[in-house]
Amino acid sequence: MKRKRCVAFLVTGKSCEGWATGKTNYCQRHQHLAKAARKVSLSQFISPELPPGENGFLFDSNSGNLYTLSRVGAFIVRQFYENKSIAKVVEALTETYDVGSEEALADVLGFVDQMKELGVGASHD
Amino acid sequence: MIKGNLAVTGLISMDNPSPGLAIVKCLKDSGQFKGKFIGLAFDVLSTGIFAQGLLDEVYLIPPPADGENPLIERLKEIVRQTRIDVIIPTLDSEMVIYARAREKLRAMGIRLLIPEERQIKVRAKIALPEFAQKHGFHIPKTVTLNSKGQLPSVIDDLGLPLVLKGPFLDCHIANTPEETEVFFDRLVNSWGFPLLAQKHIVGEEYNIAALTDKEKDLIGAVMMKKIGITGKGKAWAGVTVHDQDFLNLGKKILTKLEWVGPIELEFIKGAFSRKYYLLEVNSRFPSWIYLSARAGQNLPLATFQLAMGQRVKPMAPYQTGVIFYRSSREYIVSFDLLKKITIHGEIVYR
Repeated sequence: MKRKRCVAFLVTGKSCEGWATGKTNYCQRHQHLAKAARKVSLSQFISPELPPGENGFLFDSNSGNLYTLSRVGAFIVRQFYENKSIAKVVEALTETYDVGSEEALADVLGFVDQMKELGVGASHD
Repeated sequence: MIKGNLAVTGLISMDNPSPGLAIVKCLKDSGQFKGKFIGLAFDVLSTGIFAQGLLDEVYLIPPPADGENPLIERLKEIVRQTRIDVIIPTLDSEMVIYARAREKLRAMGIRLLIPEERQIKVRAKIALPEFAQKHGFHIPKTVTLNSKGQLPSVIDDLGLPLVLKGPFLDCHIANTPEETEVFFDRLVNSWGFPLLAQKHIVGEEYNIAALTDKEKDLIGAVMMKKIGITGKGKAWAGVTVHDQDFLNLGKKILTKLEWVGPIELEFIKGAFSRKYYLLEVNSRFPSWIYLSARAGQNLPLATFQLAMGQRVKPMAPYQTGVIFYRSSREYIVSFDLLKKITIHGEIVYR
């Protein structure tokens, strides 16, 4: 089987000479970035209100819970609805806001964890 | 157009409002109902009496404590003046009386859509733990209190905070032994014995308002999450939600109750267990029933139709995310109206 180079540079902007391991496209050192290749689906019960450039709002019709989103949170969720991977969302964030890719990735992954905890959405391959 | 005259009870519209006026609003706003709205009140200071824009006529009737015969006699007097096709009773305390009076009222031309006395009693607060246990529904641990001397052992058993409930209405969350005693006295003075002490479950409250026809088939059911709650635990704001598992649980309860007519099921969803605990089953529509109509299931209108013997198909799904909130507002009432209702026991607005 042909070996692949680690694709961490797509997220971090820094090249990596390592070899991808397992089923992911990342080397051992960048395994945590494998999550960035995943997409995020929101629960079917979520009704979003995500006006461009403004704060957002999610309503869970199953639990009745209401969630408010900051402008950045709304920006991220909008990208998820466009079926973009976490890496693509990070890329869009770094292009739109004054934030580095590593910091943006950590924030988005934290955001996704919170969504999962609340039953709002979950990441998948 | 659906024609007839509807009478409702439950005109108290204070901090723990009765459902009477909300039911009238459901029919009035439907644009499908043509007939009079008649209010039946026990007390001249039931504030809903003065809702001129909603009610066409108001009559005083005896309180439930007087039993069915005084009620029947008073209704005989009223129907000599104005026709009543359907009464939708709205208070748990009067449901048994209406069930007992059903045939006599029918002879007067008045129809009801309520279950038999047996079903009404099965879901009473005091009987609910047995019903839940028999059919395997989760319910917070509940102890019946017949004397104040039981309080220390109940606190040991259920822990604090605990919920103290009156036999028909009213509940308080007691956080300390002292509060337990104060609320105990308050509830006994208002409602008498027995009281119920219930383990306090931390969680969010969800209710179902539903309607079943004479064949006990479900016509409609609307789920609401309380998003604003008063000190008495009453919904001051809520939002329609849909959870199929929750609905199935509600349907199962209605089947086991063999229910006919309007009903409200109250639950709390445990914050840790994520289980739905049945808190109460109310044998009538809730005061938030107007939300059902605005979300797409006009359950009170269907109740009128079913009581009149019309066929009503099971309703289509309602809209989720519809929010209601209550507000407090002052109205000015002419002294003449108060005199009329006090002296004559009735007001005819038009």
